[in-house]
Amino acid sequence: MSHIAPELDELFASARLVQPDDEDVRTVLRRIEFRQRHASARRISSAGAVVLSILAVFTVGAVGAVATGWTPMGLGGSSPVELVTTSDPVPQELTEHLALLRSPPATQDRDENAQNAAEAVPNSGPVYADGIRYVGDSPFGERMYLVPIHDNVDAGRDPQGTSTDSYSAVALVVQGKFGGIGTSNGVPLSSVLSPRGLQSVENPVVGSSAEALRDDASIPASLKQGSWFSEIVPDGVATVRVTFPDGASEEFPVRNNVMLGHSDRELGGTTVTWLDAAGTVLPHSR
Amino acid sequence: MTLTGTQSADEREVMARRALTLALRTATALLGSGDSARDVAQDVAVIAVTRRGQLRDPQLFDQWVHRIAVRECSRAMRSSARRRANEQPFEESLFEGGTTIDRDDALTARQALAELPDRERIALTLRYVHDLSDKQIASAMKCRPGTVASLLSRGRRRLRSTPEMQTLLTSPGGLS
Repeated sequence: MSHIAPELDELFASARLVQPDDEDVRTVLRRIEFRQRHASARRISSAGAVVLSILAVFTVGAVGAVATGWTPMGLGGSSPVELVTTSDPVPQELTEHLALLRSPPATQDRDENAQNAAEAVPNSGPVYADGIRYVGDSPFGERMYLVPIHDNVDAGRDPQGTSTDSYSAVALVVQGKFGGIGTSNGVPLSSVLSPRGLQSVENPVVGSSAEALRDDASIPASLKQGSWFSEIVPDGVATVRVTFPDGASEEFPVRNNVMLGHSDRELGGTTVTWLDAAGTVLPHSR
Repeated sequence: MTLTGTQSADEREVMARRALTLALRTATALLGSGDSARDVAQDVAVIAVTRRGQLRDPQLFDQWVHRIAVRECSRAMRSSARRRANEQPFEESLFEGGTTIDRDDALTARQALAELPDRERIALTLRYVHDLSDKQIASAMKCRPGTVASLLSRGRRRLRSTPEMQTLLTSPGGLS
């Protein structure tokens, strides 16, 4: 590298050493989450004006995928990303581990919220539309869904799932006015069976819904602080024990293969332990 | 860095941190170390991660971030230039009648760099902050490598001819 002047070298050298602090990273992650949710909300709100035309039917391996074309405005619109659904049954490898996905569909699994839940999974492979299941309501009164996905490493630029490197995944999607909890992206089945940590951590007080959440007097103040986290867990897991970096641990119940937790503690480096109904520790991989 | 269309929270954080680091270094060199650089760097990281599906070759993630950073920094520099045109900036008030009031060398160097045309500043930044080749800079700036060589050459020459750099070059313990 040639030298211009020591002072300029110093100027550039100091720039070379700059590192973002953790708060900057957290801010970026919250903004990313906001944009993804906002893009989804805009698609949903404009659904009445947009005819979701069936563009094509693809049969790839065991998956027949239907592309319903939309362009996520929040992503710039320069490269259309298609929501793809498939009417194929949910793969056995998912249903054998997740009882909720084995359950027959109820009315609440077919309503508009459930269909919108499919659109809330960004850059995913084909969604098993008939496999979406209502989990329950969040503490904020939002409706939570499990969305099974035939995902692939090229999802986002290969929405039809033509990649041979595909895998089954499932997402926890929240439909509601706050939208502060959920995995957003599909969690690969392998990660559901062998979690390396919390699958999703959210701070609902930050982001697009923060103002609405703060102003809602029906929600206790304690729930508006701290972080929410979630885990999608396989059958047999009744409780998830979360051990925080400070050594403290708390246990959170599982309902319909989903654990939803809340804490004011620092969550970086949190570990997860599974317990069955008898309180026995379960292995993570089975 | 390996990118996939579907990221876990951990993978997304790694990607965001990488983009933020690259962009922050570029923005700091071009805009200074204040909030403006942080804001621009955050914008770049958000764009890079949310539009990752548009990236055909995951190996080109860094190059892609540089390209977004160049665009966003250029926008910020233009905005800053407009503000300076409408306001009497504090820094320029330090110069009166061509006389330089006492200031430290780092600030003088930054002033010299700030006086270069934007594209020359960007080319110099990408070279000296990120050690990019002419070809890589050309990709980030969407121009030909030959143009980059010209920008770098002119930028260096122009830097040396600025009054600020002349001051440094002739000051005791300076660069001569």
